[in-house]
Amino acid sequence: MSSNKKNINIIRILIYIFLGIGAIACLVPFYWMIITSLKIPSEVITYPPTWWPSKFAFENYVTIFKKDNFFRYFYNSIVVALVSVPLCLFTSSFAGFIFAKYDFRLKEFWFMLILSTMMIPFAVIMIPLYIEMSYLNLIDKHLGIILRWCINPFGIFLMRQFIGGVPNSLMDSARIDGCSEFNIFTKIIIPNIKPAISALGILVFIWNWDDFLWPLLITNTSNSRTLPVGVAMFAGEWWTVYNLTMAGAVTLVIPLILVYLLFQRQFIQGIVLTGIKG
Amino acid sequence: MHFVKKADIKKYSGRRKSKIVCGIIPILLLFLILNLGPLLASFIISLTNMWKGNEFVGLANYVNFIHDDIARIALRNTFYYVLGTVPTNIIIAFTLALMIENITRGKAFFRSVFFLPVITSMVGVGIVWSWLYQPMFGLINQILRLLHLQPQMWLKSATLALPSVMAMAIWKNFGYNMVLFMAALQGISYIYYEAAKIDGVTFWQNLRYITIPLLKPAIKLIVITTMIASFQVFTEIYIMTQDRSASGTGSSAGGPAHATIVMVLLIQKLGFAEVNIGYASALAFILFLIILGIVLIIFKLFKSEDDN
Repeated sequence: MSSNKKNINIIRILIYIFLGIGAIACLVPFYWMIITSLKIPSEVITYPPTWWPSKFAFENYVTIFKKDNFFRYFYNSIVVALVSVPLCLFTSSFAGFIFAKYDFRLKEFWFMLILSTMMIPFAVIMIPLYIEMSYLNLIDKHLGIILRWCINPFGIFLMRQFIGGVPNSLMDSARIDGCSEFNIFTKIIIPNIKPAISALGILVFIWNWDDFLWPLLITNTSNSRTLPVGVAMFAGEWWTVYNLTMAGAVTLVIPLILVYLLFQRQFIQGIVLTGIKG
Repeated sequence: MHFVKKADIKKYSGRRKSKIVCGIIPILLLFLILNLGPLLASFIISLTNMWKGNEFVGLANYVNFIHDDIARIALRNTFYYVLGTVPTNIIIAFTLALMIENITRGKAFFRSVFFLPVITSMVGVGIVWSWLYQPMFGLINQILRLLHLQPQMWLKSATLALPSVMAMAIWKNFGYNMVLFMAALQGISYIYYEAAKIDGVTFWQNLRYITIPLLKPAIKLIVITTMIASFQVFTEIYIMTQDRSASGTGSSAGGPAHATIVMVLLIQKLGFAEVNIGYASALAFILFLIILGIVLIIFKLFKSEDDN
């Protein structure tokens, strides 16, 4: 019995060692990014590498904001996210509501059609989408980036699942009280699926904030370029100046980490939601 | 009484209901314009030689694919990427989920740390890893030198470039699947394990006969979603394999010597740099058909196992 206990303890220690090594491997790149971004140029390329800068060069951050239009990229990304995420949440939950609670002709057909587009690679639709946007004169415009987000098949699917779980009797009693159908949506349905909405909102936010291919195609100037595209261009231009490119990467990574630390529970919940109804 | 009431409500609210249902029309229209329309348009474009000309060429683009060396390399690299990353990602995610679920202290800490790369930006970590892989001053080679090991060229090496990107992608993405596995593991009732304990089964028997069979739906979902995403790999390749010595801001990714070119990168290059959108669309459709085929095969595999 005691040898068995000893064995379990050894296994436990081994697990912790393994997890510890994994955790270090996950964190070191971030540490190295931040440390490099704060080093003076000569210290970036010393051997052996220094794990703590001898002198903190906070001016690197001033430099990158001077050299490139980072404020504008931030602004563009925030505008795009502030419109895309609520828009996507509205269309997903409203369409989910109609699909879950009402009947209309060819309802099942439309729903299957929407579902089946979930598997289509973006590469298949990006060329016609680009042509459409150029006809609508939306190249290099915020709206051109945003429009791609206004229909999200996965969001519609997820919302239909959750709204389907809200009892009909709740809606009927609201009807007796003279509630309009749209108010049933805003006052009865939405409050009842709040956790699902916030989880979907956070997921859409990360996808949107980190989206790269579409903004890369549709933006030409800093007028509409989002932060990932802006930082990628900046890194391309200043490639060998590693402390500056790392400062650029920090501007991209740190806001996401802050949002993550604030909403960690919803993040995890959001990921789990994507895996529930497989 | 209750029944009558319900019928009354239905009658009374029928008109209002049909009014709100009309609200779906704009959403379906947007879906047609932004999703379904482009899909059909893409197929039609793939049957033409736009914008090199404006003629209908039938399946010529699809036939050309067979003789196109670069497209073949891109397809091979894509498969290499998928086969290398998907199983590794899932095995790491599963192992870590199992470990974290079996410890008592620090559960939340490890979950948060392993999940951190997932929520950060692919562009950001792509840039960071390019710096880690840098042959002269990058951290990885610096450490290898400190350990008196042979430094490598990593992203600049024709043989190591793609595996280097793949290692980064696994590092970035496994946490997502790990969280899914953790949720699925928590969904398994402890009763199974209690019963197994009485029978005195070993850890491996537990895993083989209880955990994995009960996780099958989760595994299926994870395999499919990870695979669909992996076939569409683009951002990390685009960021990490740019030839920075080449001047200009245009895309020079995919090197060295096509060692890292993948399907979506090739489609983007053909479609937007060379404006050969007929052929680019055909390649996109080939990619789509491959994904579709493999998803169907996976469904079938899981299904036939269920029958046994």
